[in-house]
Amino acid sequence: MRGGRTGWTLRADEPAAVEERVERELLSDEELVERARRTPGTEADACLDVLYGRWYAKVAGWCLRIAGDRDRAAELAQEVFLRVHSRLDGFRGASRFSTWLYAVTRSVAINRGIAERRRREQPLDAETTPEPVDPTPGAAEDLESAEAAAWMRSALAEALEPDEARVLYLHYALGLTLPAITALLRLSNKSGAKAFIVSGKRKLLRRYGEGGSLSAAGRNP
Amino acid sequence: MTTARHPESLSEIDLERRLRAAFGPGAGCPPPESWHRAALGELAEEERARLAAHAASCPACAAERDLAAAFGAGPDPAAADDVAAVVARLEARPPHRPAARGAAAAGAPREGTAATAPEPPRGRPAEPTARPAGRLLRFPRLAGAPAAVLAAAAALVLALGLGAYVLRAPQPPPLPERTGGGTVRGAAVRGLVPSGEVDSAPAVLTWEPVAGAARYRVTLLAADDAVLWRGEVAGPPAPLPDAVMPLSSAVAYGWSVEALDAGGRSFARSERATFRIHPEPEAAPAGPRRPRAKDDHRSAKRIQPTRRGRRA
Repeated sequence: MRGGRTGWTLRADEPAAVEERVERELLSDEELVERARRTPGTEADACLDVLYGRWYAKVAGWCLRIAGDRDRAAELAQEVFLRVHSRLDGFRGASRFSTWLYAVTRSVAINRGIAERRRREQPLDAETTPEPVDPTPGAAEDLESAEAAAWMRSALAEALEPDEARVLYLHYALGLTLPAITALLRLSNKSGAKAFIVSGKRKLLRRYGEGGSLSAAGRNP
Repeated sequence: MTTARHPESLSEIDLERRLRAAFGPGAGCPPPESWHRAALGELAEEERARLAAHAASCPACAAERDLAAAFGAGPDPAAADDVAAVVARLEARPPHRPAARGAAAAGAPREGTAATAPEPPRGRPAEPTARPAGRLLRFPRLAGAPAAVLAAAAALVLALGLGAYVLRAPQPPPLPERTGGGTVRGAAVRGLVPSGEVDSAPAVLTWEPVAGAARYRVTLLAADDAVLWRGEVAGPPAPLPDAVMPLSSAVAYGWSVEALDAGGRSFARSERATFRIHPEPEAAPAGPRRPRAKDDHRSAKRIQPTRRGRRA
């Protein structure tokens, strides 16, 4: 019941309370935050009812895109609003409230790593991915090197199609699930984001097998 | 010729680790929220073009642009039922209302598909992370109380509260009916002056009268949105009080107007207008100075009246 957001404690014969509610509905997001700061107590709660209520659907929709299912989206969205509420004192109006809300939402989603867990539950097909090989000595140290990262960035830019690189970023850097990426990028191929992951990784491994040097990538002629 | 040191072969696991390392923020990458601002149309054309050019060559930023666009676009209509269910969960457990959160955690009935939600462990806060803090939060700390007692108490409070609510007001309170005079809730107050760059400090703030308005509430804001002054007048213009004078030059001020009906109800408001007073010109050098067209161009671009809607 959406009307319950701001009216649970109101009675129909309390016109003053209704007027106050209407007035709050007319305030901008930033004004609601300011009023909640200035008037702690029930008025602050009422302002936050209005403010959060305006954004529940948008955050819920985004979380559904990212998390993929209703329960995970609900958990994520609830964590988002807890974080928003705990940090609201830090909002100073340097940007719109919506921009600040998006930054918090994105941060919570990535940190939570919902998609990372989903990815582990849905491994890629063994038949379509290259056989893993044992890591060579020194790989862990090499992993941390800026040189290796530079090589990878170069390979991403030069060896992969833009969609492949975007899918790899969303999956490995941000932890989105493959179904979420498929929906987000509106991929219409049969296997969606999975195909881009497989082809992108195959290209990177092939490039590495060809020598993998920065000179081979044309970075250091 | 130099070559990068790398292992002779690369496992898939290493490849994934390397991918994560390589996707760290690049030096030239804009912050993620920039894409949201661009989607809202808050950025100047020049800045939007710069971002678009960057995204064309940076897959990470292209992906961030897509994420921000998805937020701005709102829920997918095809997932309306799922969105409604998630919203119902949020409304049942608002972050700033401990009573509702406590009741929800105690297993009180909730709307939609809330019954399918995984519950947090009993006797602990509803959410395991992001412990709330700050003066806006007023979560009672009842450490040490038995979980079952807390749950039962919360359920009892909710049941009594809901019962009282149903008996007193079975329907949500109605919005006030429209009054005469052609006033409509949500109507706009327009024609705010000053707005944009002004040459001298204004003594008054003025706007177009609104039919049906008995009084107007005027709010003057500092650049950080702090309220400098709020007052009511019978009609435009509103003289600025001595308390806020003199206004500083080169500082942006925001202001807005609400129209009030005879009962003091706000029924129309303006967009936020922004103005800034030109700094006093420095002493001009001797001899005439030919005005340059690009000076006017720069001046006009320096500040634009901000359009602050209620929603993105």
